[in-house]
Amino acid sequence: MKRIGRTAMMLLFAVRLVSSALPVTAMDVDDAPESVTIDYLQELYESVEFDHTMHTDMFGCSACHHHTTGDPPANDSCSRCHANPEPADDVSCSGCHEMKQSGTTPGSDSNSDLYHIDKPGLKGALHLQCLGCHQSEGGPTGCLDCHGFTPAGEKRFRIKEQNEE
Amino acid sequence: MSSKITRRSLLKSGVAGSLAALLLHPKPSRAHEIKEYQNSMGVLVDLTRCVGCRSCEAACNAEQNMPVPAKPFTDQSVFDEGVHGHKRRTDENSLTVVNRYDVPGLDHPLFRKVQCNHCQEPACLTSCFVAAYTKTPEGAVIYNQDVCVGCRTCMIACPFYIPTFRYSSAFDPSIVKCIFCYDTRLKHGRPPACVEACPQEALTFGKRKDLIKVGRRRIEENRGQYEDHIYGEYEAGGTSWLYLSSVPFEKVGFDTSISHVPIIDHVKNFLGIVPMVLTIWPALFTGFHLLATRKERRAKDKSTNGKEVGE
Repeated sequence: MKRIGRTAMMLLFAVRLVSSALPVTAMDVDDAPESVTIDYLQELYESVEFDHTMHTDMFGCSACHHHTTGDPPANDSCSRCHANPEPADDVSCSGCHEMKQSGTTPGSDSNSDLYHIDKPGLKGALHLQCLGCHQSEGGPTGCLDCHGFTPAGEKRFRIKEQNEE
Repeated sequence: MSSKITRRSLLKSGVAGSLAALLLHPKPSRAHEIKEYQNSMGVLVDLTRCVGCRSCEAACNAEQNMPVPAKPFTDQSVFDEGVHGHKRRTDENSLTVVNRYDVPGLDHPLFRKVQCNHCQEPACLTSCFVAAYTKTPEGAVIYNQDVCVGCRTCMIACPFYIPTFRYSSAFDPSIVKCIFCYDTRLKHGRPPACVEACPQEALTFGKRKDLIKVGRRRIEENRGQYEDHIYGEYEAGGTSWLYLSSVPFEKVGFDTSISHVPIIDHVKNFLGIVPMVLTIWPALFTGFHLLATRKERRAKDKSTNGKEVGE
C-alpha cells in the first residue's frame, strides 16, 4: 500500500515536471462556449445573449480577454508584465471585474494589483469593451440594440409616463 | 499762509484718502490656503468615455424625486435643443444635464455632463448672507431651504452657473442644485445615483486626492489621448468634481478663463473695506459737516452782517 502511494506520488511529480517543461499553450477557441448569457445587470435591462462564436470568428481572444487566455495581450500596457502569459484559471469577465466599481484606492491593494488600480467594475468593463469595439468596428451602439428594458428600466427612463400624457 | 487748511482742501484730502483706501490695496493679500477636507469625496468625469446615454439624468431624476420630463430620457433629440446657441442648463426640474459637442476634426461627438462641481471654497456659500449653504466634510455643497430668503446672489456668484431658482414658488423661495445625493447616499459613504448608473464608468467616485492620482495616471498611461490637465484640480480654487478630456476643455463648453484662486479671493479686499466704510464714514462725514458749518453757525450766533469767510 505504501509502495503504491509512493509510486503514485512520483508519477504525479513526473507529470508535473514534464508539463511545466512544455511550452505554455494558449486556450483553444474550440473549447470556448458558443454563447454566453450576460445577466449581471438585470435590474433595468433584460439579459444579453452574447454570441461568443460570432465574435471569436472575427477577433482573437486577447482582443477582449486581455492576457487571461494565454495569448499575448493586444494592449501594450498589459504586455509590460504579461508578454508571455499563462492561461488563467478563470477567464470570465466577472473573474477579475467585480460587480461594484472598484473605485480608486491606489497603493492600498496588494502588490499584485499594483498596476490594476484603475480597473473598471463589471458593468464598466463590459460596456467599455463592447461599446468601444462596436464604435470602431461598426457594431450596434444604441443602448436598446443590445438589451431591452425591463419594466423597471422603462420606469427609470420615464417612458411609460410619457406615453400616458 | 499757503499751508492753511481750508474747508475745500480738507474735504479734498478726506475724499482722496477714502478713495485711496478703497481702490488701492495697501496690504498685499496673503496667499490663500484652501480649507480642504482630507477625506472629502469627489467624482472624476472622463469625457472620452461618455456616450450620451443619459442614464445619469434618469438616475438623478428618480433619486431626487423630480417630475416627469417633457421627453423620456431615451430621447436623444434633447441634444439639439438649446436656446440661442447655448447648450442645455440645469433647471429646477433637472439637477444634471448631458450636452453633446460636435468638435471639428473629431469623427464622433463628445458628451459632457453638467451638475454642481462642489467647489472646495464655494462662491455660492461665501455669497450667501443667511448661510444657507454648507460644505460638508464629505465634499458636498448642500443647501438649506429653511433659511433661504430667495435673494439669488448665489446664482450670480457661481462661476459655473449651477444654482437655479424655483420660479414656480417664489413666495416659498428655493434654490435647486445638485447636492451630491448627500442625504440619501454620500452621507452613508455611497456614490451618487448618477455615478452608479453610468454604464461606461465615465464617472468614477472616490476620494478627491485619489481621483487626482487616477486622472494623472490615465493621462500618462494613454499618452496623446488626453489633454494634460484635470479640469477642477485648481479651477476656482479646486472642485470636488474633476474632468478629463481628449480635446481642449473650451471646445467642450468648459470655462477655461476661471482663475485658479477661490472666487472669494477676488472680492476679499473689497469686502474687507465694507465694515470700515460703514463705521468710519458716517463719523468722518458728520465731522466734515460740523467743521464746514461751524463758522456759519458761529456767524449766526454773533449776528454779524453776514460776512463770507474762508474762500
